[in-house]
Amino acid sequence: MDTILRMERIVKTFPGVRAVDDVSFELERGEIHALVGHNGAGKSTLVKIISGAYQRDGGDFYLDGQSVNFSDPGQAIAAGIHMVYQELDLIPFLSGSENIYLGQSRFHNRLGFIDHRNKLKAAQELVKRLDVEKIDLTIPVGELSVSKQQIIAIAKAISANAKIIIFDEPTSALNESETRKLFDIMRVLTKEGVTLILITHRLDEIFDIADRVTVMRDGKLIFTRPVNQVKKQEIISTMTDMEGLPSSYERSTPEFGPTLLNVQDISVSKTFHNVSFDLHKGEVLGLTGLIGCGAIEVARSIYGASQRDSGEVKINNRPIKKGNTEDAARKRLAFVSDDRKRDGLVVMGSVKTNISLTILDQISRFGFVLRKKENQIVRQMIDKLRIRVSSEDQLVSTLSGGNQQKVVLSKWLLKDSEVLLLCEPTRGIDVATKREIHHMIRDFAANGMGVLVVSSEIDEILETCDRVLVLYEGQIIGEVTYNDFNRAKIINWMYGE
Amino acid sequence: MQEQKTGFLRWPRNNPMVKESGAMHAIQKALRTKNIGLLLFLVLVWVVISRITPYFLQGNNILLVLDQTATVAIAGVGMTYVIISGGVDLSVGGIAALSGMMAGICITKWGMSFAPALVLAMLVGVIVGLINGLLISYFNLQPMICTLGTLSAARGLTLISTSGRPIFVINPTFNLVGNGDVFGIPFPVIIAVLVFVIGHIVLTYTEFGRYVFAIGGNQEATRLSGINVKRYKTMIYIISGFCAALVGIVLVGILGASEPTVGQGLELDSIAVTAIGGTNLMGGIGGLVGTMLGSLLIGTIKNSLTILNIVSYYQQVVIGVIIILAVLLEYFRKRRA
Repeated sequence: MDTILRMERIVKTFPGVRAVDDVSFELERGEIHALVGHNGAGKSTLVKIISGAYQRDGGDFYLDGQSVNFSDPGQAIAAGIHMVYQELDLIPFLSGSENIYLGQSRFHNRLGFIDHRNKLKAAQELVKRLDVEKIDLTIPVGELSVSKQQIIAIAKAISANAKIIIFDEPTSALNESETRKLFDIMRVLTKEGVTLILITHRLDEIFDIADRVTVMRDGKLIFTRPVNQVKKQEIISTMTDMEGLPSSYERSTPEFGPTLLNVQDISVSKTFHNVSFDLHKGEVLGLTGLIGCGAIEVARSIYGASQRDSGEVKINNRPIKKGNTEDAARKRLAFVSDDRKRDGLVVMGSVKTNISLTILDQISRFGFVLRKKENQIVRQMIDKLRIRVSSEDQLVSTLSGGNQQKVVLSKWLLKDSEVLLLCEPTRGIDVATKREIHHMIRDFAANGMGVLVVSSEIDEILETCDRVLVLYEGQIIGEVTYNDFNRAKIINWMYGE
Repeated sequence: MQEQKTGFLRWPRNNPMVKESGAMHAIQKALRTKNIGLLLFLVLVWVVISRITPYFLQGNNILLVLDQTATVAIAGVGMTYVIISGGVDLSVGGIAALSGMMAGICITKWGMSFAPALVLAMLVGVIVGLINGLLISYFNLQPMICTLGTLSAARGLTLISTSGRPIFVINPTFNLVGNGDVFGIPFPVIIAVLVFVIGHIVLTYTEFGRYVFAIGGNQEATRLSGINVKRYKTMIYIISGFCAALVGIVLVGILGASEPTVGQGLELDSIAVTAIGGTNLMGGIGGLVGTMLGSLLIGTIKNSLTILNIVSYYQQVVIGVIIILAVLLEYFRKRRA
């Protein structure tokens, strides 16, 4: 066999974590190599080292037998390593042919003008080489389907003489026939001697298309094997603990109160379908699944952060208007996004102005904010949630992730919210604060709130929830209550087993 | 970064990071505080110019500076609201002309008295502001394009209404608004000060003011906090339209006529004084004190170049350089902080 890429004892650390821990990894020329693992297993970090986005802290990296050190993605591309991202990095306003040859001066004539006709012809031949139906390469790529855009992204890599192409969750936005077409293209590529890395959480695909599979977990490479020597169940159980439950908080309220939140048959096309559930007073309900299963979108559309196509949401038996966050907040529904910077914080603002944002109307008289009252309320909240700040006027941008999250929680607690929708509540937060927040979630429920925890981290779900719903490809596939918690069952559901 | 504050001039309080030692340090600290640098620069300009020409500091001339500053300052108040909220309003010049024309038509053609004419003229500004706000908030038009459109439309309507000719307005109250004074202080200056004080109080101390900053800082986070962003954004453009209409009224008073071409370049001047005043053109940070100082700086420079007999073409160059310098200063101030 002919090894094109060899990595030996690669180490990459970030503050607090060994993202890649002593990993040795090899690629054979012309193979399709699947790379799987849970969130935080280190697979993204590993491919980012390969594609030059990160620099390794230790270990050796050989490409075609030559030791290499990429200091940026440009060098990796020059060496023939390309990445096709989930969020395709095409320029939507430019045509297919322009995107394919972007940054290459191949079609500049002697005067520096672009030879559009030859460029288009070359691009069309390139796409034809991939053996696919005709794609209009003259219209802006933004007007093409995701599947066709992906093909253009692949053509772009080929045009630059790619030797290795890394696909990051390429099928997550494709339907079945588009997926089959993509796999056909991948096979054509390997015939031409291109080597492919496929990152995916759809384990069935591995058996359709890949030659070998590598499983990573907690930054370590667990095994690399030919796909015909491994079973799906084995991959799942290797990726994660199937046994044992974390030391949980006491579930003090086995009997829940009345239904607070009633979600009836809500759907968003291409994202999730006919999701229904009840959330009771005093209950922590978990909603989990793999990234892209639609769980976060469920929470967003319940609150009205994004629109839903159909279905109804009621809080305390009163319907919430769809897409109307003002109505939802007024009816005491609270939403904490998985993206704090984008959706949660006014980053230029202070701790105080962020915390009091939801209740300004309650602490104002004749439109004037009662500053003493505001300061007092905000300070109480800072003490209560133990937010570490030098003063309430500190800018939130200078806080740690954990303290920022506490600021976001504060503004909803002040509003006397009855139902909390928490999306990935501890993402990017240190271990100690994480535990603190988990404790808070139990406290919220004990004080009579209903909490929905949307998380792709199974430990978080097992530690905090009274009941868990598992979402697979946009549908609720299973439900289990605390007394019957079983890690293996939940994980298998996450993978659609 | 810690002492960077929005709104009124504030000194860092009880900040353990700042050591209170040495004059140099105090100056550095002051420079890092918003508006102080601008104030010092304004004083410096005053000192230099009064050295060059003693005429500058004479009472009449200072009042003239203030008078000339008033209209830009009034429009600047509305513009500061819009820019802090993350938008921009290019239609203010057109609104000023249209409102002024409305006032002229009411008085001269329809024979109305001052009060109803004033109400109708202000209403015109409010309506154009409302249109801007509705289009931007509910139809997601980009503020620059939307207000560019209403600028052109408002200017066009003004010209249509009188076939491009001015209307003379002979009305004692309008004359008072433009050219009168109270204890020697010109009326336009009094209006500008009032608008500034009210604007500043609303922006700094009210619920509404907080939303202006929050929307400009992160519109999505504000919406997700259950706040009706669309309604508040609409109100912000109404405020800008209101201020612009007020400028139109004052100009009718000053000129004794409704001129269809009045207020040309008002949008750029008011954006300039807002930017010079340290308001972030991307939104979220800013305040009216800076805008007032910016207006005074521009007014001072225009006035002194005039009394120094420098051709007005040069004024534009000088003002352009000052805008760039002010933004550069802001950049360095931020980098040091």
